[in-house]
Amino acid sequence: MKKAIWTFVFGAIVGLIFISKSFLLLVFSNIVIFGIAALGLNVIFGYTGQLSIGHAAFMAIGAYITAYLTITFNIPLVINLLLAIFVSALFGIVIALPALRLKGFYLAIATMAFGIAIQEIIAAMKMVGGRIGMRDIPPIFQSDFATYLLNLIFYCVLVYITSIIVKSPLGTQFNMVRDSELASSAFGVKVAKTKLQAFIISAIYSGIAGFLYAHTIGYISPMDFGLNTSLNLLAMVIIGGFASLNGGLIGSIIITGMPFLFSRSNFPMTIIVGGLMIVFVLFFPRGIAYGLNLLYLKYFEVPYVLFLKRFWKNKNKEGHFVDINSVKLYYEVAGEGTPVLMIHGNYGSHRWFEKVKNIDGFKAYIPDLPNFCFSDWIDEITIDTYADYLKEFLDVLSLEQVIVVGHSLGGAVAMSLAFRYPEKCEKLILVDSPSLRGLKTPEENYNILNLLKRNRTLLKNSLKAMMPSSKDRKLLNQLTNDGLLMNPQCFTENARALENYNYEEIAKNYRGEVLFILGKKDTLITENMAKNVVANTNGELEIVPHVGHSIIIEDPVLFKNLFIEFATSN
Amino acid sequence: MQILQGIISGIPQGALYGLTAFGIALIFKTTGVLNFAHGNSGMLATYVGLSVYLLTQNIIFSIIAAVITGLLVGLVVERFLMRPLKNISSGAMLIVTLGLLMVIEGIVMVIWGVDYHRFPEIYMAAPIILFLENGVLVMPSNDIAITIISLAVMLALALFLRYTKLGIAIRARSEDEIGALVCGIDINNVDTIVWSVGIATIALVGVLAAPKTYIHPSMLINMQLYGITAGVLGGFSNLFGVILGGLILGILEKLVGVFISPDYQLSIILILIILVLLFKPSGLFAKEFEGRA
Repeated sequence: MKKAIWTFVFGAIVGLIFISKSFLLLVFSNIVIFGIAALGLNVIFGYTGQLSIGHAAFMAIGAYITAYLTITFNIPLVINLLLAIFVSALFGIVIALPALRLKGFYLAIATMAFGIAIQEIIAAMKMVGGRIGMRDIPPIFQSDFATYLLNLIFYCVLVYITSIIVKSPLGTQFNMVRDSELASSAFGVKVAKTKLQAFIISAIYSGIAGFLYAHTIGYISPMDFGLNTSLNLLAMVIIGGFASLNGGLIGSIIITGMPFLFSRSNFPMTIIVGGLMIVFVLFFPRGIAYGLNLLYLKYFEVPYVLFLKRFWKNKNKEGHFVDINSVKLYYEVAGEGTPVLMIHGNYGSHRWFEKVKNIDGFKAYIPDLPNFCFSDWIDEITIDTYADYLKEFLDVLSLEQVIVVGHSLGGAVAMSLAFRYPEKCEKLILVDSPSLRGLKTPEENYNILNLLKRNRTLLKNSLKAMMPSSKDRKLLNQLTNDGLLMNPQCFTENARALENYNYEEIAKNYRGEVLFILGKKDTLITENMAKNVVANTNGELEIVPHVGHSIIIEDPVLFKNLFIEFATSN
Repeated sequence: MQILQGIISGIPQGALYGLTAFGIALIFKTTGVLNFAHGNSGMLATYVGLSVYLLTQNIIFSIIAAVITGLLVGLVVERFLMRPLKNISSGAMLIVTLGLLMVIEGIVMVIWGVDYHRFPEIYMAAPIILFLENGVLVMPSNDIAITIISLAVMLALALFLRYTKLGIAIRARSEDEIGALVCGIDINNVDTIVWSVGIATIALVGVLAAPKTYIHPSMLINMQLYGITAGVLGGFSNLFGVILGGLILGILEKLVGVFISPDYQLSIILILIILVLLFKPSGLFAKEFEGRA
């Protein structure tokens, strides 16, 4: 929805700027129309993986139906449009038939044959002008701007519809069929039916594009819908963006728009289009739309993030700083009683314990780990280093023995602290912590982790996923700001640190009690990981069904009860 | 009589389709790439032939030049495009050949322009006319020459594949890449030869067909379509089937032209492809078929 509206607003503004140049408006209309056809091709090729090199034929069908009916019988346009859609859908079924049985090169042959056959049949039909084509097709609006706007509206509505389809179960089925027909049929997807649906949708889009083309240009001939047009559509999808909503339009801007740039020289477009097609399929198979999206994610929020970091760092703080080996650690204290050390997780800060820090009879010490939030940065990024700093922290504050609470990455730090300095740790509470063998982050996710440091929205969404049942948006915003203050290196290096430890041996050093609290909805830590920790220590496992990764934010009351029950038991 | 005349005038055309299909099938069978740039590669070579003809006014030289250009084009395409891309998916390969189709068309437009050029017939003599009891049969002598040349080339290539060591290597590679490697066959060399020979055949088709189609940038697009159709009809896995498919196609086309309408020749042939792919996708003369979803 957002995408469609933005495209419309942007397109309308561009149209308004050039409102006096009717030739340019015609070019824009052309671009948008081919954008629609490319969107249709993207449904079948990008999302469903079925190559079609006869797609211009559907445009021809839509264009000729409306041209013939308007000129000969003067039938209202709406009926023409519906008929064009209907007949395109019928032909979509026809061309889907071979596609149900063929793949790869053979499907390409069949669709190419279909495309050229339609072109030749139209060329042979005298009643629609044969090879000469049809002239003087009445336009829908007299004004070029109105025509352009109508085309744009059609495009945006279709983008909106596509976005719904793609996100629906049907869209998922398309993608499954594209990725593996065997696997998708094993999951109960009816491959033939799915392909048929994709072809029908795709054909309808191209039929609509043809309808608009006829009324916008006013002149059609079989040559307009030949193999070259089909190949151009294919190139638009490949260059613009395979399986992306606006990719077809971007490709169309390049391929439909470029000839007007080069119109003064006689340099043939086919070299450029063909060359681009080869280069893109080999080196940028996901197209320009993907690249633009990546650029957006990487750089669009950078100024905002920089400003926010500066502002947030200098905010008034309630806590204190403690100097450890000339590294300043920030910490907050709450309550009176038995000392408790609370250690936050990755992308975290002291604020994660905001809701649970006040527990009757306990005094909570909540530091920011080095590299995190308000604390200073250090170069050596390992779990053990973090634990060493916390041990120094306890020494400086002259705390003899504490109850340690560790959340997520903090859980690993807590384990390191407890296993290597067992005398410091009275009891250990792990909240959704990784297992003793570390937490493996898939290699392909590191690029995404790198995006988080420059993009607040992404970081916020990631943190939101870690607290699925929390509704506190204000806290989430504050936590996100805290997360951004982390040492930029740590966005990936913390994940590496989590991979590179193994405490299975030294776990034996610690004989104190361990409580492992696991949220059932946690998408990061599995029950097996929790059991691994509990099995190797003197521990018990508490599974909370209604929370995700962060019980300390999602259900603080329950956490406090669990805490008190565990801490006061003997 | 009309039928007989249709068949007779269809044979030369069919022989060209057969030769085109032979080249496409040879490359497809051996390297697994269906070359959609096949026709245009031949078109490029034909243009070189045209230039040589305009310089020397000698048709034999120009044919030789075209065929040699075809060999070179095949060599360059294989060495610099197909070999580095050997391991990409078939879908990506398809798009690469489609891109190549467009690039070659553009190159030719840059060098030679978009005008139509005439090209002389290879063998100019009075047509052979047979007087039968109930009519006459006309056989243009150039058509006979075309038929003889293309059938001879196909026969030679078939014998080459059947009996020479290199031909056996090519067939081995087309059957099993790893197996051929194990037997000490240099796959890259074989591929280069196959591409060169394949493009050379379409270059020959280009100069042979040029008197009728004239020389222009899309002169062989339809020829390539017919070639692929012949391949589908005969079954790509069987080279003799492909040749037969080409002949059948040529005759069928003429018969359609005689009995239905010349306007519908191409579309009926194309619908035929779709039907064959639907109902007998392995083709008429081959058994196995891998392209089924």
